[in-house]
Amino acid sequence: MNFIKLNNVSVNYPVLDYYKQSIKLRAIKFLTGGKITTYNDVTVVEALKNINLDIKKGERIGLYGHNGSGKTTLLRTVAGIYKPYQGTIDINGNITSMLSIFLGVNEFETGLNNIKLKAKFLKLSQKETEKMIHEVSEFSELGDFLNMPISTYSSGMNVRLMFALATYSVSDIILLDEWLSAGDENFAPKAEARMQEIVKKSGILILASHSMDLLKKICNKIVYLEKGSIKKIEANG
Amino acid sequence: MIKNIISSILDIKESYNLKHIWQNLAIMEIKSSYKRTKLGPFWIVITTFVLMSAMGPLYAYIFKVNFKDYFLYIICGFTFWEFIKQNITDFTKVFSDSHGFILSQPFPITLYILKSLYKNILILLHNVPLVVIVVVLLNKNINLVTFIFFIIGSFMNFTTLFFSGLIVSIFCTRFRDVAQIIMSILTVMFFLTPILWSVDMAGERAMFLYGNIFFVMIDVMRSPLVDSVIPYKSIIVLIFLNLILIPVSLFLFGKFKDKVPFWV
Repeated sequence: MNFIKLNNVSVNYPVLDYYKQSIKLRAIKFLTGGKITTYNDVTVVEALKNINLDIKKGERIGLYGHNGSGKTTLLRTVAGIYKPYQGTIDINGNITSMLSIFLGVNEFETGLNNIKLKAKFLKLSQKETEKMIHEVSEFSELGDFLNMPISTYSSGMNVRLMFALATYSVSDIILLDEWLSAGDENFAPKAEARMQEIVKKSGILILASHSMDLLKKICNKIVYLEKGSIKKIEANG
Repeated sequence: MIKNIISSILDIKESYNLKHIWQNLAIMEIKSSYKRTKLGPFWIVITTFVLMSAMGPLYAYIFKVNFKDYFLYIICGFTFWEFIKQNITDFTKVFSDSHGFILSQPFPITLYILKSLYKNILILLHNVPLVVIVVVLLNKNINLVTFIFFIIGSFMNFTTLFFSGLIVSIFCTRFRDVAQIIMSILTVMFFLTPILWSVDMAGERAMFLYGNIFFVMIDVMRSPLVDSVIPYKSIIVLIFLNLILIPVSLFLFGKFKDKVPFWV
């Protein structure tokens, strides 16, 4: 049974600007007998404040909010990238985090070699790799371009390939940061169909976006974030 | 304190299980830095050979030593120095260079350190055939025992580099100036370490060289190949160093590793 439980989770972000990151100022402070005290305190931004969320299997959560409301931070915290300074997170299930699709790609290699590379990251066998190559090339509609380096691709072709690679293997819990709308017009319905398919297969989906239309189409629960706290939670559909 | 050490060990264990990821990332990194070149990573060997062929005769003449012995000495010394130097240089920026990965995938953080070390071991392996050919041609006394000690020495260095990487990477991510300090130290150490000059040239003061970690690390790999001797002293120094380095690095890494995503 997959679930995610966030209990009173708070995440603080240290702001290490140019001055504070420099050891020179620490040294100066030491030499001046600690007079420059302002440099000693690390400024923090409260990115998430007392988040309580209880997500059960089958739920598709949409995170809605403006830039800086904490959507990405919340996704990264659930993914286990950011450790909260307060509160606990309990997770049951394997997480696929699709926060950035352009990672782990070698742009000087051909599309085909990049599919093989991704297959190696997924630890696929020879047979599974061939199946993956077949499916990805069909879905991305790249044809002969698969034998060309990715750097020669148009941005639309690039998105198609990245999308096909990123959505090839998914697990129980999927974390998505907004990149669905990318791609050309012909590809968009296809990408959406693939998303719906993944959503059906997965136990839990968390999708962050500032497009209410998109969230209403896919999610069955919408979490409104504002300045790092949950404003309200609304059921949808 | 024990808690920090355990959390580091768990991180390393988890990274080890993901070896298909860091190994392929390392290969990808090497390939992309030699993109569209015909000879690819073999440029590493060619660069070493050209440099040695130019420097060997010159310095052999300046130092008035036998050319063959000197050529063997610097080709080994220089290759191993480059390996150590490149590892440390890469550790200083390992997290900031992979910030895209760190902020989007929940991988254990030591994965990036292993990737960096593995990449440099692969580069070293490109140079090893050249080194072995030169050793077989110019050193008549080479035998299996000394060769085994060369391999033992190499693995001791891999261990030392990995655990120093835990400290260097974390400090350089938090304090960006530390990377610059380390780079200047490395430049100075190239001249303070017997790479171009030999240990006997230091005369009575050769003793002090054992306080130079870079000498010790080069010595455990170079002496078996060049002089066909087992460098007991350096091995002992390196073991003692690791006895301190390993717990300290595990402790510091465990204490600060969760902060890395906020610092990159």
